[in-house]
Amino acid sequence: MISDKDRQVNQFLDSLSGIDGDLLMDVEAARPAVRLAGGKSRPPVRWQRWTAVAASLAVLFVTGALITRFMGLGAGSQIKYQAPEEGIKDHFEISRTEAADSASRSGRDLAGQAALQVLSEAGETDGLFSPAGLYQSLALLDYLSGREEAFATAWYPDLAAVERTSDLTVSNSLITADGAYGSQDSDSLLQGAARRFRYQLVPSSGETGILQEIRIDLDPGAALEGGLMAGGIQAFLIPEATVYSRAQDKTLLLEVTVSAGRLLLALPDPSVNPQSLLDQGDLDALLKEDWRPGQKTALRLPAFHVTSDHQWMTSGLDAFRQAEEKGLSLTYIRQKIELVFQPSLSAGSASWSRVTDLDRPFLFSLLDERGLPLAAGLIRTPFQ
Amino acid sequence: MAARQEQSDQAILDLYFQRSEEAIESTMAQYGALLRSLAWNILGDHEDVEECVSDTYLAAWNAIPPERPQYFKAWLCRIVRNRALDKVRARTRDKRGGGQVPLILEEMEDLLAGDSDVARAVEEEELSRMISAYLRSQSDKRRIIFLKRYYFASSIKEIAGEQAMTEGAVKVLLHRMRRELKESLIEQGYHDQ
Repeated sequence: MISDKDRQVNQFLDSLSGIDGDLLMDVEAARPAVRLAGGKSRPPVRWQRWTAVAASLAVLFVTGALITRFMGLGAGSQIKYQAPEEGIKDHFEISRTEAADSASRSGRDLAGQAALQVLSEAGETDGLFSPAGLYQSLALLDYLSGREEAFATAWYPDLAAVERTSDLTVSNSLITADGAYGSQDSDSLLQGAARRFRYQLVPSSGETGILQEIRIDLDPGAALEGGLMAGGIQAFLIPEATVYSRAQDKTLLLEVTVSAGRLLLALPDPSVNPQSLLDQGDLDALLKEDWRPGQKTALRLPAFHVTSDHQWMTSGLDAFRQAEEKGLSLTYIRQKIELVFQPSLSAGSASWSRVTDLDRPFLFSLLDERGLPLAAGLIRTPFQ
Repeated sequence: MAARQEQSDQAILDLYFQRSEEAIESTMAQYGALLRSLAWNILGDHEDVEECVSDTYLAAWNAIPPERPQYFKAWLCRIVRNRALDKVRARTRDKRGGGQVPLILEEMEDLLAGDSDVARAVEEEELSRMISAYLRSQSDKRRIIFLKRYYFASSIKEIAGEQAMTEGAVKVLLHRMRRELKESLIEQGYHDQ
């Protein structure tokens, strides 16, 4: 006997199947928690358990190494590239000291989560995330929570301003919580990002403009005129890039050397929504895929310029929510960034056997010389 | 981007109209993983999932042409979802078993009127329209989380992991949305007052 209640809830369930199709266009099932292959298994015998443990450790090791590729933070971190014959890279190889990896893991995980959230929340607009601002904001909360003993001011323009001002707009001045994310990481970030880019701390009442500026520069002569792209937008051509293609579709991963380090660009297969790449676990998920050996390519792309204005206090991240629950008087912690990629064009011409066009939405990650992430973003409208 | 997906869908549909077997292969390549995930979340059984997804491909082959779905992805999902739900009901009857379905049914009870006997019976199609209207009024993030849970039957844990939220935050959000949806349904006359 089916009760009326059962009938109704089943009707709801069935009715959902009939909702308008366009509402589903950008929605996928969450990552499957269970592999579909194979049915119910018998309890493992001892050797199977140990094999499983060994395999799990191997997977963790490899996965961890890949994750650190995009969001890694660690003083001892080194990303080494295997240089195959004729200078063509055939795969990435990452080495990182265990201590550095361990020290920075919590911060890295948090940065990965936050990047996913910031980029996903950008909606239909371009998205930009800088982990430096995240750490700085968290450290500031530590400080304001009265935990200054756990707080190391490695670099700060005007610390006294923090104490005087109850309502702050905070940019990406680098303050790091000693021990929380690893002091060595802090040093690395300071020597890299803070020296290279501009940071400010200002009271909210006086703040109007961009607080952090990131400019991606190419070496002189590295960009040539590339003609016009869709929408009549002027393109430029980077003769020296490396492209890796994903085995199961036409998603491409491109690597470009820039003055500040490296720029990685992920160009999804035309059939893949860039947002869905984020839904599946951020940029680092891409690197777990099966990539074919790299090839040299010239890269044609438009200049891009993206800004982000993010409010951390209402971001939903546990770290900020907990701070809010402590009754802190801060009204907001704001991360406002501008990233510009507009290289100077050089005169010159040449012919290339392969040219890759960035002519549709793409993801990017900017790493400094040591592989420390400076920014990650999603350009949904490359021709605007 | 949606336009590109539609272009890709149109190319697959053209293959169906040409009665090319590549149509099925292209459908599997494009949507196979999604359909299996959806069926798995509802059924939780490998054999049933494969049967359900295979049935969906066959249904597509038989229906197209003459039918030409406007939203191919949603059309496929609807078939596989309905078949999976039917299979769960047939398999478990009164037990309400299978994947995430028992939990989702419990959550859905929030949507019922206080006295369920007075709820007005509406056509399924009308209820779909009401739910669509509610989802259109939501932000992308809220809509996506709602559909991941109640359309794709994804677990709270998986959704929380993807959305960089705690499980508690996802539950709270879904609870709020169910409450809002109920209010919206009342406004639209679904529940008698």
